[in-house]
Amino acid sequence: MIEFAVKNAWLVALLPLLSSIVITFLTRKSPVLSSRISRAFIFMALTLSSLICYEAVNDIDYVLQNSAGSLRWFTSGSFDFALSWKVDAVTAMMLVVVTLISTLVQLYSREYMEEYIHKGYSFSRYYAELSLFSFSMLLLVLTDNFLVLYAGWELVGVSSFLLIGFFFEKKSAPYAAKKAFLANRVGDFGFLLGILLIFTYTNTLNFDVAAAQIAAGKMTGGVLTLAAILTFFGAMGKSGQFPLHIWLPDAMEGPTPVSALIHAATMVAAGVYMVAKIMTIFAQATFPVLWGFNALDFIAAIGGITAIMAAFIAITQTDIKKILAYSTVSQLGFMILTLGMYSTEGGITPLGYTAGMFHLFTHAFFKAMLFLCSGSVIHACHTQDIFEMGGLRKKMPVTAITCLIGTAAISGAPGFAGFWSKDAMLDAIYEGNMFLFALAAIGATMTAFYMFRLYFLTFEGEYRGHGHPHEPGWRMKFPLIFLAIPSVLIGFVGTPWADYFKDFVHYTPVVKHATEHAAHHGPNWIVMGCSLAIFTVGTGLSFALYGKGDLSKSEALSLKMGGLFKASLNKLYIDEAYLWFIDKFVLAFAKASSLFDKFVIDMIVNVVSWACIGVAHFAKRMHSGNIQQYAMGVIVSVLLLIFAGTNYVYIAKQLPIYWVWITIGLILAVALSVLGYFGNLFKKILDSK
Amino acid sequence: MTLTLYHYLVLAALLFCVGVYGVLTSKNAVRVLMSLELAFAGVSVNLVAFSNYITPGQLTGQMFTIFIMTVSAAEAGVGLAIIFNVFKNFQTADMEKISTMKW
Amino acid sequence: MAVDSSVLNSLFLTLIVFFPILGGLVQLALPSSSVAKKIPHKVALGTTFITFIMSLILAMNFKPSTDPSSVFNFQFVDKFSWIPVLNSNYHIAVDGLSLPMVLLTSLIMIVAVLASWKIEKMPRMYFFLMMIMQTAVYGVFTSLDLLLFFVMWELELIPMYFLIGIWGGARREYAAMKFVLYTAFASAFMLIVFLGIYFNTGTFDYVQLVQGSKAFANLGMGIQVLAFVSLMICFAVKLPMVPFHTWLPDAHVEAPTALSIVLAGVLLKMGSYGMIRFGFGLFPDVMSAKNTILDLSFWLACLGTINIIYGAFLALAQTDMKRVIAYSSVSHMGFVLLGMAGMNANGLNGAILQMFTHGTITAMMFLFVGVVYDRTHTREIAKLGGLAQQMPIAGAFFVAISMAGVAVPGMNSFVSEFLVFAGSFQNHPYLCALAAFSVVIGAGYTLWLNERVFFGPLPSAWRGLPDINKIETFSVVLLMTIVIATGLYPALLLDIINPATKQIMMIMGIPA
Repeated sequence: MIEFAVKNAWLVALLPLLSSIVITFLTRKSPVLSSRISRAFIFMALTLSSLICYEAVNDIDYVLQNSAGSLRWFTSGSFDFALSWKVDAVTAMMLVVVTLISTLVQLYSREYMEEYIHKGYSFSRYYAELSLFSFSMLLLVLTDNFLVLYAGWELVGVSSFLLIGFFFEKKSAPYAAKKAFLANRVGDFGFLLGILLIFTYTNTLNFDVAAAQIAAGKMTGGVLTLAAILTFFGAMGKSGQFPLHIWLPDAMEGPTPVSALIHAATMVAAGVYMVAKIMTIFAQATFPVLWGFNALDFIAAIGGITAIMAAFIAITQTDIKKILAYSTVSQLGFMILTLGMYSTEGGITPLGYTAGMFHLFTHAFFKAMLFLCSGSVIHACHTQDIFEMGGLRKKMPVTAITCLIGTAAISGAPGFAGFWSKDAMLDAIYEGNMFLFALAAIGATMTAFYMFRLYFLTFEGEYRGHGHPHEPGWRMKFPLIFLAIPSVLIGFVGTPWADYFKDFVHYTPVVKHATEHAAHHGPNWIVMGCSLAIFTVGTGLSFALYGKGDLSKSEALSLKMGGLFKASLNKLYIDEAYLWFIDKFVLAFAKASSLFDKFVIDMIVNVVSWACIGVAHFAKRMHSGNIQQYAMGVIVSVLLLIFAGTNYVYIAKQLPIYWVWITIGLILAVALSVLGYFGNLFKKILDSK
Repeated sequence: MTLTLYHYLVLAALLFCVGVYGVLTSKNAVRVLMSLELAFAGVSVNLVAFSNYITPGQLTGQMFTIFIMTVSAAEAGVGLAIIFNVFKNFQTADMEKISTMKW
Repeated sequence: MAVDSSVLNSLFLTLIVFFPILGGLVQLALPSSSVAKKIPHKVALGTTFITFIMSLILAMNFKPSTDPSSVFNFQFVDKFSWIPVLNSNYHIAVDGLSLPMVLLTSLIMIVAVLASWKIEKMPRMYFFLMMIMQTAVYGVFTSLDLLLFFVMWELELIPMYFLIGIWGGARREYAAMKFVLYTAFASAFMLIVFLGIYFNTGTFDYVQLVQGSKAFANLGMGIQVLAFVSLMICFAVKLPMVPFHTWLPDAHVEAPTALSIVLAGVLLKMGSYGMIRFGFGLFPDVMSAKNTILDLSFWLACLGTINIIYGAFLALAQTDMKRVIAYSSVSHMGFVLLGMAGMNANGLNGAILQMFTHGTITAMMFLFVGVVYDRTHTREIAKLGGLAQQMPIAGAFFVAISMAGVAVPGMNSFVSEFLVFAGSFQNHPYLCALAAFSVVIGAGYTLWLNERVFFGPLPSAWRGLPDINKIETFSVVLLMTIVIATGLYPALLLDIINPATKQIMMIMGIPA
C-alpha cells in the first residue's frame, strides 16, 4: 500500500480533480451527494499523502528514488515540455497539510454552508470549486518543473477567484475576486519573466537540473539575481507580501471555510513553499543589484516590511476575518523574512530555511483553526464585527477554548506550536541581521497583542450583539477540536533540543549540499528569553486594555494616538493609493488611448477617404455641361500633343525665317486666348455651387 | 510671286482657326454651327491643296471636299434641328445656359 | 477513421473546399415556402457539418512529417493547369500549418450557422453568401498558387461586404464599406508583389518558388525587403495590426453575431497565415541575419508588442461589450506577431497555436455577446449587470470563457501564450517583458467585463430573461470541449504544427 502510494504520487492530485469533474458533470443536481463525493475523494487523497509522508519520514531516499514520474505534455522544436512530479521532504509535508486541512474544511463546510443552500446557492458548485482548488494546490506541490508549477500557480488563483466570488450577486464579492486575481497576476507577471529567464539560460524547466546548471555557471551575476527577484514576485503576489498584499484582506468576502483553507493555510503558503523549493537558486543569486541587495536580502526586506506593516494594521481592525487576514499576511511576512536569512556562506546552518518551513507547517494548523473558529462565531452571531460580539465564552465554550488555544499558539505562548516555530524563526533572524531581529520582535509583540485583543473582545466580557449565539453542530466542532491537538503539540517535533523537523526537511535535495556538514545548532537562550518576553508583553498589554471585555480604555487610547490610529485603521491608505494610481494612470491612459485611436488613427483613415471624396467633388466641377469647354479641352490637348511631337529644329531648317515668326505669333495668340479662357473657366467653377 | 503650297496651308489654317475661335466663343448656338462650317472650309482647302501638290493629275482631295460639303450640308440640317429643339425646351440658344448635361 | 490514402488523395481536398458552395447552391434553389420551416438553416447546418466531418477525416489521415531533411509536407495535393498562359495552376494541399486552420474554419462555420439560427431576413441569400465565404477561406488556407491564393483572398471579401451591409446593425453600410475598401486597398500591395514575383521568376507556384528560384533573389536584398514589407502590409491589415486595425471594431460592432464569430474566429487568421506561409516562405532571408538593411524581426516584435499592449488598453476603456472583445482580438493577435518575431520553434509554434486558440476562444466570446444582446437588446456595459442570477448557465460558461481568454492553464491559450513568451523572450527579452504585462491588463478587462455584465446585483429591468437555449449551449460546449481538450493535451495540435514549424525554420535557415 505504501509502495503503491509512493509510486503513484500523482494520484493524490488527480483524485480531487476527478471529484470536481464528477460533480460538475454528473451530480450537479444533487448537492448532498456532491459534497459526499468530494469529501470521499479528498479523504482518499489524505490517506495516500499520509502514507507518502509516513514513508518519507521513515526512508526519504526510497521516496526520492521512487516517487518521480514524467509525462510528455507537448513538444516544441525538439524540446519536450513535460508534466513531471516528484516527492521530496517538503512536498511530503505539504501534501499532508493540504489534504488534511482540505478534508477538515470540507467537513466543516457541510454544516457551515447549509444555510446558503436554502438561499439558493449551489452546494455542488461550492464543492466542485473546493475540489478544483485542492487539485491545483496539490499539482503545484507535487511538480518538480517550472511550467507545471506556473500552471498550478495560476490554477490556484483561478479557484481562489471562483471561491472568493462565490456570492456573486453581491457587489463586493466579485470585486474582491477580481482584485485578488489581478494582484496575483501582477506577481505572476514577474514570476513568468523569472521562469523565462531561467529557461532561456539553462534550457531546462526542472528545478534540480536548473539549480545544477546555475551551479555550473550557466547563469551568473546580475541576471541570476534578477531572475530570482522576478521569480520571487510570484511569491509576493500569492503570499500577500507588501505591496501586493491588498487582495488578501478583501478575499475574506468568500465563505469562511474557504478563507481557512485557501487564504490562511494552503494557497497563501504557496509563495513560501515555492521560495523554499527552489532555495538553491535564490541562494546562488548573490550578485548585488540595487543598493547592494542580492536576492535573499530583497526577500528578507520584503518579508520584514510585510510582517510589521500587516501587524500594525491588524491592531485596529474590527472585522474578525480581516484581523485574521492581516495576521496571515504578517505571519507570511515572518516566513518570507526567515527564508531570506538562508545562507550558505561561512558554514552557517540554513536555519532560515528550516525555520520558515517549520512556521509554515505549524501556522497552517492553528491559522486554519482560528478561521474555522471565526466561522463558527460568524455562523452564530451573523456579524463579523468584534465590537458586536463579546462574552461568547459562556455560550460557545468549545469554540472559545479552541480559539484560545489558537491565539496562544499564534502569539507564541510557551509550549504551544507557534512558540517553537516562532522561536526558531527569531533564532534564524538573530543569526542573520540584528536590525531585522528587532523588527521581527516588535512584529511578534504586536501579534500577541492583536490576537489576544481579538480573543478578549469576542469571548470575554458581556455580549454586545442582539442575536442568540449558540454552539454549532458536530461537523463544525470536530475540525476545531481536531486542529486544536496539533496547535498544541505539533511544535514538539521541532524543539531546539530534538529538532526532528529540521532533520526531515533538510533532506530535500535542493538544500542537501549546503546542510550535510552543518553542525548541530542547539537552543539559543537569548532568543528564547526574547520569545518569552514578547509573549508576556504583548499578552499583558492586551489584557490590560481589553481583558475585561470593555472598550473604554482602548477608546481613550485610540483618541490619544490620533494619526497613528487612523493610519492603522485605514490600512495605511495603500488601497487608496492603488485606486488612485489605477484611476489616474491606468484607466486614464486607457481612455487616452481610446481617444487617440478614435481621433488620430481612425481619423487618418477617414481623412484619406474624405480626401478622395473631396478631390472627386472638385474634379467633377470640370465636367460643367458646357460643350464649348469640352471642345476647348479637346483642342488644347491636340495642340499640346502636336507641339510635343514636333521636331522644331527640322522645321526651322526647312522654313524661311519669317514663317518661324508667324508660327510663334500664332502660338502666342493661341496660348493667350487659352489662358484667358481658362481664367474665365476657373472663375466659373468657383462661382458655381 | 507664285502661289505655293504654303499659301494655301496658311489660308486653310487661318480659316480653321477662325472657325475654331467661333466654335469656342460664340454664345449663340447657330453661330457655333456657322463657325463649324468655316472650320470645315479650312479643312477642305487643305485637302484640295495637298491633293494638287501630291497627286497633281488626280482628283482625290477634290472628291473628298465634295463629300464633306454634302455631309456638312446634312449635318447643318441636323444641327439646326437640334438647336431648334433645344430652343423649344430652353427658350434660348445661348450655349452657356444649355449646360444641364453634367454631374 | 483511416481511409485508404490513395482514395482520399484524389480530389478529396477539392471536395472539402467546394462542398460549401454546393450546399449553398442547393439551399439557394429551395422554394420560398421552405423559409418558414427553417429549411435553408438546416441545409446550411448540414453542409457545414458534413464539411467538418470531412475535414476531421482529412486531419486523421494526415501524417505529420517524419523526414527531417524535407522542407515540405504537402498532402492531399490537387494540381491542375488553370491558366496556362500565366503558368498558373489550380494547386491546393494541406500541411501542418494549414491543417489546423482548415479544422478551425470547419468548426467555426458550424458555430456561425448555429448562431444565425434566428436570421429571418432573406435566409437563403444569407447562407449562400456564408457558404461562398467558407469556400473562399478554405481556398486561402490551402492554395499553393499565388494567383489562386489572391483570387480566393478577394473572393472572401464580396460575401463579407454583403453580409455586413445587409444583415448588419445601424451603421452597417459604413462598416461594410470600410472593411472592403481597407482590405481591397491592402490586397493591391499583395497583387503587385505577386505579379513582381511572376515577372521575376515566371511562376506562381509556391513549391517551385521555395525550392528553386527564390523571389527577387537576383535583385538584391533591398527589393526583397520592399516586397516583403508590402506583402506584410497586406496581411497586417487583415490581422489586424496597429495602426491598420480601425476597421475591425467597426466591422465587429455592426456585423451580426455569426459574422463576428467568423470574422474573429477565422478571417483574421488569414492575415497571420499569409505572413507565415508567404511572407516567411517566399522571402526567407529577409527576417534572418542575412538582411543587413533592417532588423525586421525586431520591428515585427515591436509591432506585436504594441498590438498586445495598445489593444489591451483600448479594450479596458470601451463601454460597448462587443468593442471590448474586438479590441481584445487586436491584443491577442499581437501574440501571433510577437511569436513570429521570436524566429524560433517555440515562437512559431506559439504563434500558429495562438491562431487556433484565439479562433476558438474569441468565437465563444462573440457568441456570448450575441446571447446577451439577443435578450437585453443592449451592449452597453453600464446598463448590464447581475445577469448570472437570471442566466446561471450562461454565467458559468462566461466565467469559463473569460478564464480561457486570460489564458489560465487547462485552456489551450495558456500553452500558446507561454510558447509565444518563451520563444520571443530569447530574441527580444525587453519587448517580451513589456508584452507579458498584458497578462495583468488582459485579466483586468476580461474579468472587469465579466464582473460588470454577469455579477453583482441584478437591475430590475433584466428580471425574467431566459437562460441560454440548447443551440447556444451546443455551440459553446462544442468549442469549450475543443479548448479544454487541446489545453490539457496540446500535443493533439502541436504534433501536427511542430513538424511544419521545423520545416518553415529550415526554409528560413534557422537551426532548430
